[in-house]
Amino acid sequence: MILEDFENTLAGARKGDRASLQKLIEWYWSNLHRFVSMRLRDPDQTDDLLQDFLIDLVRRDVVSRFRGGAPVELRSFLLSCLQTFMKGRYKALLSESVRLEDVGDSERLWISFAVSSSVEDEYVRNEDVATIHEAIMRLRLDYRRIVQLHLDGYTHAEIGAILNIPRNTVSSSVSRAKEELRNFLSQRGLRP
Amino acid sequence: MTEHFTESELLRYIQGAQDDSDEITSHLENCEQCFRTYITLLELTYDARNPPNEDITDRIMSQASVRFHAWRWVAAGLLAVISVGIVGYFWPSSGEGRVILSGQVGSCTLDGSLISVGKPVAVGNLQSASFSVCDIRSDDDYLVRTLENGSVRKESSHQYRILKGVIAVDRRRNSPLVIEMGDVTALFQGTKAVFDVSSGRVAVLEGRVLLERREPHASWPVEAGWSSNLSGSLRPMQPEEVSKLRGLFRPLPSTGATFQRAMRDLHPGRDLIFQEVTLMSGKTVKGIVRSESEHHVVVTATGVKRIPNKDVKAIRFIPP
Repeated sequence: MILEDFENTLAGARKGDRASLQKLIEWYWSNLHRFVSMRLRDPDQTDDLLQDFLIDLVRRDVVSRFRGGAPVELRSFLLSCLQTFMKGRYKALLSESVRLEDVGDSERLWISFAVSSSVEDEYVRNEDVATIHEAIMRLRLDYRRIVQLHLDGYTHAEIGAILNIPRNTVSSSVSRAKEELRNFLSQRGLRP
Repeated sequence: MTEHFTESELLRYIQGAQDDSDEITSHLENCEQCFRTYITLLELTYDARNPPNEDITDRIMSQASVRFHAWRWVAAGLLAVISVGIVGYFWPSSGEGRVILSGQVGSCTLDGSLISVGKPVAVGNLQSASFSVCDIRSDDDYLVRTLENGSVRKESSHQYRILKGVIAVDRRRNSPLVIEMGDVTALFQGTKAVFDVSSGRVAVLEGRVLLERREPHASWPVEAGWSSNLSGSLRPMQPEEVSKLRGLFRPLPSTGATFQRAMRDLHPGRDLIFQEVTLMSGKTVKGIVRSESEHHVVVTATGVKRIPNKDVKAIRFIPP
């Protein structure tokens, strides 16, 4: 099990061992890739951004600044670094010289990501997110973990492999869970 | 509710090696924090079993390793400054001008008449803009500085105007593009820059860029006109800068035939310019590149060889 070797690998990466660092990147690459991909929905942009982020990560020795010691903690740390990187990098697109009609679709997406919306929009969105989150947490564990993996960008086949259950079971669980979520959200006045 | 479970306990639970699995299951039903940790561990365990292919991490590590060889860049930079001074001093005022391309990532070697790009950087649809410093002497030799190993090679003969171009690789086409600069030339210094062929824009990632209209028979002072206001992070060019460029950059449809024509212009009377196609495997095929398409390169060598683009690493001309 690769994660069992986590502590040694992390220690090596902190000391500047390139092989350990490369191993960590391999472990977390898919997770980070999904994170970016779910937000950008553009394979090229996703690849480019993730590559630039990881290069930056290695060059600036970011892992040595990580104070925790567990795999999940490191993932949270990397995701927050990645989010900052994404925002910082593409806020540059908002320089005065850019006219919106001049930018491409993918850049537009970036801009919408980088610009904070109004306080009211933010509030309404947070309320909605909280309700959806509550709905997910009310699902029974079997459904909830499938839904969560689904929301994290895994395909039904991958979820089946992760949970060691047949793909069809995943599909039927997702549709049943969606039905439950739909009912709950309707009761709360949200249109699913 | 009991306290939260540790990651190692949850990991053992995932592996089916935890004795109190029923207790953990019921805990996960109610504890959001442990549930999130559990899901993340599931994901990490799966992702660790399915790592990306080696190319990705190798590329990242090699790109990042530039930092560890900073002294080489400094040394190469000093060499470049010295060489620019020397070349500038001796450069004839009626000459063709010189092209200085510099970059941050990868290396560039001057092979025959082509600049072959080292390890490319992917930005948008293009991979490229990684250059070393190449100084072309107007006499019978030129100097090549490869930033990769900091060495300086002096090679004999031949100056090619083709060096006015910049090689970029379109990721979708997976074939080299040469962007001609017409009478407006973009100079880059310490720059990671990307040409967007479709829109004619140049995105300057680092360093600075100069657009210079070159008058016939005019010398080209390197230092003059450097535009410092373009330095900094990624940003598109100003509209007026874009308008200068629009239409001036054009991708050549074929590195083979078009280069052949260009080379014949440079070397009238010489019918065939031989080329060397370097494959990804490291092997080389020498011959004449007859045509290229989106899918393959056809080389007339000992028999006609049709080589898929994905297998082609570089095409260079063999100096006549």
